[in-house]
Amino acid sequence: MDKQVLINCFKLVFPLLTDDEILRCSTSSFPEWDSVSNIQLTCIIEEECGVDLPDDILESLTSFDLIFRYIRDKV
Amino acid sequence: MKLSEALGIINRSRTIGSVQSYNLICGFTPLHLETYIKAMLQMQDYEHRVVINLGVYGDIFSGLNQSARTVPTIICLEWGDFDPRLSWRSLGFWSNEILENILSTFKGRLDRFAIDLEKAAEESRIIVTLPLLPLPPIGTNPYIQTHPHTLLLKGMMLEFGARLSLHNNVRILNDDAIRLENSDLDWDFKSYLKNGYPYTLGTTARLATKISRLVVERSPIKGIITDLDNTCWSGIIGDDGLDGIGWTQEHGAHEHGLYQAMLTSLAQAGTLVAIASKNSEDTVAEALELTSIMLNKAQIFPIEVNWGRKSDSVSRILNAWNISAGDVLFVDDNPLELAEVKQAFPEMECVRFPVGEPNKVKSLIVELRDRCGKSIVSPEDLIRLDSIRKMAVYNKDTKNLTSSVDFISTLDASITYSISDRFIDDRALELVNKTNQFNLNGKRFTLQKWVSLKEQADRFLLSFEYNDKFGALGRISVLSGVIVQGQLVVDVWVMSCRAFSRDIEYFILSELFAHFEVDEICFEFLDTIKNAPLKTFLLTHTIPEPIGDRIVIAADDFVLNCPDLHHTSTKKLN
Repeated sequence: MDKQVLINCFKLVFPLLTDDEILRCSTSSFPEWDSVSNIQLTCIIEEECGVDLPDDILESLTSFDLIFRYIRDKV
Repeated sequence: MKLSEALGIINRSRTIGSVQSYNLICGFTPLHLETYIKAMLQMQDYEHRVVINLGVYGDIFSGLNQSARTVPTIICLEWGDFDPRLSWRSLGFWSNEILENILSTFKGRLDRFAIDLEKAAEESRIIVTLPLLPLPPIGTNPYIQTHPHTLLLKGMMLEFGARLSLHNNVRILNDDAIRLENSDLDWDFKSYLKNGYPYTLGTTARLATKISRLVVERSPIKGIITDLDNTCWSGIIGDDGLDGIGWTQEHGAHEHGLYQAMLTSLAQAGTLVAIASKNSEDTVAEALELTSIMLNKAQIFPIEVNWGRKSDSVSRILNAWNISAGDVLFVDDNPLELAEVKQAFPEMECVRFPVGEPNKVKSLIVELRDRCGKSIVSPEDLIRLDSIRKMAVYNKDTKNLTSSVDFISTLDASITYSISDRFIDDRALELVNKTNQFNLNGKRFTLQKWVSLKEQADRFLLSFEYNDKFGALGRISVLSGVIVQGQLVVDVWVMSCRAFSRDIEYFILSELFAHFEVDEICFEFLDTIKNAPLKTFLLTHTIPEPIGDRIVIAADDFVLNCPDLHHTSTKKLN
C-alpha cells in the first residue's frame, strides 16, 4: 500500500496540513481531527483504498501511522 | 461523484477571496450533504468561494428564524422535525393511543413552519426537500398495509408542499427526479443512529445534484425544432400513408403520442415549437388536421415541410424566432440529419429521437420538461408565439417599404412604462439575464444580487411594455441606474430583439430626459461580442467620442438625432 495514497486522503479532509504534519498527525495532537472529520476521513479512506474500516477497529485507529499499518496489513 | 472528488473541488476553491453564502437547515447532522451541496454549487460558480451557513442542530424552526435572510436557503425536512416520535433516532412510543396526538402535534408544527417559511421567502430563494426517509412502523396493521395515520401524515406533508410551491420564491424538490435514475432511495440506518446522518453517499450525491439545480436555475431552452417521421409519429408518412403512421397504443406507438403531448404542453407555456420535416406539404397538412393527433398546429410555428436540406429549414425557423441556435434543441431520429444540422449550427444541441426504445423516449420526454420548464410562466411567455407570428407579418409588410419611419407612424403603437424600486420581479430579471443584442454591458444577476440593488440610494428601475396593431409584445425593456451627484448613470439596459425597428429605444431615452430633467445621461457601456445593435444606437448620439466604458449622451445632441415619435404612452407608478 502506497503511503502517498493515504496522505492524499488526509489532505482532502485536512487541506492545510503538510505531508510531514500528516505523517505525525493523531487525534490527540490535532484538534481539527474530531468526530465529524473522522467520519469523512473514514469514508474517503474506504473509497480510495478499497478497505473496510469496521467500527470496533476504528476507535483504535487514532493516528496516521496506526491507520497506515492497519491498511498495509489488511491489503 | 465520489466524496474525494467533492472535497477536492471544495479545497481548490479555498483561495478565492469573494464569498457566496447559502443557508443549509436540517434537523439531522448535515455531514456529507453539506460537503456535496458545497461542491455542486462551487462547480457552477468560478467567481466566488461557496460558504454554507448551518442552522441550529436538531431545530429547524430556530435554524430558519436565525438564518441570514439575504442568501438562498436550503431546507431538508424529515418527519422527526415536526414530531420526534416520527424519527427512527428518537425513542418514542408508537402505540395506537398516541397516534391522534402525533397527528395534531405534527399538523400544528407543520402549519407554524409554513408561516415562518413564507415569511422568509419574501426576502430570498428557499429550496425545500420533503421527507425522503420512511416513516417508522406506527399503527397495528402489518407493515405491508398502510395505516390510515401514515396516509394522513403524508397527506399533510404534501399539502404543506403544495401550499409553499405556490410562492414565487420557493422551490420544492421533486423526489421523482431523484428516483428516475434509481428507484431506490437508500438510507443508511447505521449511520443515522451512530452519526445522525441518514443517507448513503450515493443518495447524498444525487440529492445534492438536484438541490444545486434548484438553487442555481439554468435558463430554459427557448425552442424545440422537431422532425415528424419516426419522431412525432412512428412510420414514414410518405411511404406508409396516413393509416400507416401512429402514436397510440393501438399502433404500438404510445411513446410517440406522449412526445407530442409534451411538445404541446411546452408550447402552451411559451416554449417555441417548430417542425422541420422532409415531406410533402399536403400530406403533412392532412396529418396535422387529424382529430387524434396530440400536436396543436396553432401552437407550432414555423412549419417547414419541404424536400430541401434540414439545415436550411432550421435556418429559416431561427430567423423567424430571432433567437440564437444555442438556445434551441433539434430532435430527429435520423443521425444523418442530426449531423447535417449540427455542422451548420455547432452551438445547437441535436438530440436523437430514440425510435423503438420506449424507455429512452420516456427519459427524453422528462428531459424536455426539465430543460424547457419554467418555474414561473409570465404573460410574455403566453403571448410569445403570437407576437412572433405577427412579427413575421410585420417583416413581410416592411420588406419592400422605402420608408420604415412612415410605416412606424401607422402602427398605433403604445408604450406603458413604470418607474419603481420593486426589484422582486422575475420577468425583469429574466429579461436582463437572457438578452444579448440590446444589452448595455452583458451584466448578469443572481436573484439575490438583483434584489440587493434596491438597497442602493437613489437607485431606480424602469420597465416598458409595448403594444401595436400587430399585437402585444408584453414587457420588452428594463432599465436601471442611479443618480450620482446629480448625474443620471444607467448601468442596466436591455431590450428584447422582438422590439427592434419600432423606435422604442428613442422613446425610452426621451422619457428618461423628461422624467429626470437632466441634461446628460451617462451609460456604463461594455462591448460584448453580441451587443453591436445597442452600441451602434448609443454612438449615433454621443458627442464627443466615448471615454473608456462610459458613453455620455447630451439632451441637445439626442434631440437633433431623434426621429418623430408616434407612440402613445402611459406611465404607471409602483
